[in-house]
Amino acid sequence: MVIKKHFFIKLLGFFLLFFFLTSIARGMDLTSTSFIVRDPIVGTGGGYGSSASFQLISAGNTTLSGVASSASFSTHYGFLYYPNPNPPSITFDIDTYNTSTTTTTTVAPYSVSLGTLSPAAVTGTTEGGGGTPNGIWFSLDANGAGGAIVTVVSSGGALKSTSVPGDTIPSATAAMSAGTANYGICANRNATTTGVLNKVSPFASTCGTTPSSNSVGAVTTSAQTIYNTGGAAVTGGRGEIMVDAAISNTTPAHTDYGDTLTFIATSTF
Amino acid sequence: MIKKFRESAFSSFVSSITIISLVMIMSGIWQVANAASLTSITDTMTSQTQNTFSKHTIKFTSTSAIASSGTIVLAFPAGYTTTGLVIGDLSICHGTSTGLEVGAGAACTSNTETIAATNGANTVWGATITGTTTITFTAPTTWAAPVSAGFKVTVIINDNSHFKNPNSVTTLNTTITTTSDSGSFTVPIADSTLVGVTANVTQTISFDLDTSIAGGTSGAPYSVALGTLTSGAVNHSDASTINMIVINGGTNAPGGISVTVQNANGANGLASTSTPADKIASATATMAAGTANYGICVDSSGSLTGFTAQGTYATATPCTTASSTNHVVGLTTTPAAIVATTAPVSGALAKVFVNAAIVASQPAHTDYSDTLTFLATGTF
Repeated sequence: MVIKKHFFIKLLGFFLLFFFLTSIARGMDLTSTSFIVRDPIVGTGGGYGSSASFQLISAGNTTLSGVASSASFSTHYGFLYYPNPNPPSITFDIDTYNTSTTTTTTVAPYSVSLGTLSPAAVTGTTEGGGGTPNGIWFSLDANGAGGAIVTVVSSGGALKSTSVPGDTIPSATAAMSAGTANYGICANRNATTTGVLNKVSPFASTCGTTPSSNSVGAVTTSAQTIYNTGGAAVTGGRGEIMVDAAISNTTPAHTDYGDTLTFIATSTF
Repeated sequence: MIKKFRESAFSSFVSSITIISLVMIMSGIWQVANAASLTSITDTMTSQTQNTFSKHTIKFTSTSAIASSGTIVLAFPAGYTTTGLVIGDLSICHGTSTGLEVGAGAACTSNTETIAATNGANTVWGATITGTTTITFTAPTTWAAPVSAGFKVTVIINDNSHFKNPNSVTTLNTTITTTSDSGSFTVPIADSTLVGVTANVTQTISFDLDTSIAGGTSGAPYSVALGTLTSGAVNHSDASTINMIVINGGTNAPGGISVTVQNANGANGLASTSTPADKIASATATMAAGTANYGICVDSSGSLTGFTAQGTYATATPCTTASSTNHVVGLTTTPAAIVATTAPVSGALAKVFVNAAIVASQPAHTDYSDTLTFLATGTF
């Protein structure tokens, strides 16, 4: 009787073990010089059927399955595969205009013409628009789990004369002041549908309706973050960037001061 | 008895099978297949404008380890133009913190690995470019510094002239597949993400003269009355009774401002209006009582601001309000540069002293005079 009891316990244990063993898939890549089948398992059954009004994807008793790909194809063997319903996405667009609206769209080339500068006043973008220099706007949507950033790079790190590159209106992080040569940008209005759009130092200081009241951040030839989404996805992001410049009595006279600002949007997926 | 033996034998068989199976599982002979997602994937570009070249700095965190001869495959989508892309355009770095600690390429903090067509021992990555857009890295064999789980990896496409954005507004998704993990990232391509900023600065120049005892401001007409000359003294701008001439200037001319002076009588200097032949000549010389001469000099006592004395005026020293032996410059009817700047200047100032002396036999007249004309020119 005891022997029988022991026997059935062992037999039970064996079948339990066998059950779990057969549940473990064994993965081994199948490779050749032109493709790799990763973690394949073999199965039977499955298929695809369709008509004008339906599609049916079916799978049978899959004991083998896997993903195979090459430079020209990819396939998913032996199991039901659904594309990522929320694939990585990011859209980014620039606009430049000088009206008071916040959602105007424009097309390239994008420009900000500061016009004739004077030591008597700071020249720059204002919220009211109406003939003042263009402001810079961007639209941003990104679903990266790590959020997104918008960076800015200046081609010269200053407003440089094309004819005499040594003559510049320098760029420094500072409060704008008439008669003190300076050129820079600041982050102003921002909005989102979902998520947040944060201004980032040194562009996050006083920035609003009056150029002479703005504190700008210096533009440099290295990328600097001007806005971020706080490490999370964003939809309907809309951000404004204002441009200011001032000169002194001794800023060399030229008609060809210029700079090119390059904006880049990067999301972390 | 036989029955008991059979039961015992079967029981032993089951026990044996169970034990053997346990051992096989624990030894890892049957392994569970596993794949994970790469995380924190970014591609930092240098241009997102359509139809332009861009550098790509692609970073990701490897969830699983990448061992010797492990692979990292970047499959860029169609649309990029990669004419001329070679493995020499690539860098790959990896590490626990920044993903740049060690690797192959200038961007790596420790650039001790290399990239070749085929991977090799210790530090040699293999890299291949298949089709136009698939880049495969193969880790070194017997890798000295393999990527552990959780390490960061950075792949850089360095060259800005071999990887061109599509010529359309779009979004591009690139997949990354390592030996064990996979992931993807997306970048936007816009009509342009460049903003051109322009400005201009109008030319300005300011120039003003003053004649005063101490160098203060005055209005026209400007004059210097040297008074009654005697052979026993030199009359000169003296900050007490005889005016000096003050030149004020400013400009944003990139080449600065230049001031010239000329006189009406040239070398004849101070000439009598009633008897023009009677004159106190003007010559470059050191003034001396009893020696006839008339000329001007630029103050050398430190009042010169912004300006630099030019030509002979730069060496005509001393020149002070207290000296009767100033070294003066002879005047001419053609403009001669007296002071100048070579760059934009604001508030430039120069004091000019007028000097005259006579001999005992100087013809007596009450109308010796000359007219000095100063002109300012900006170099734009």
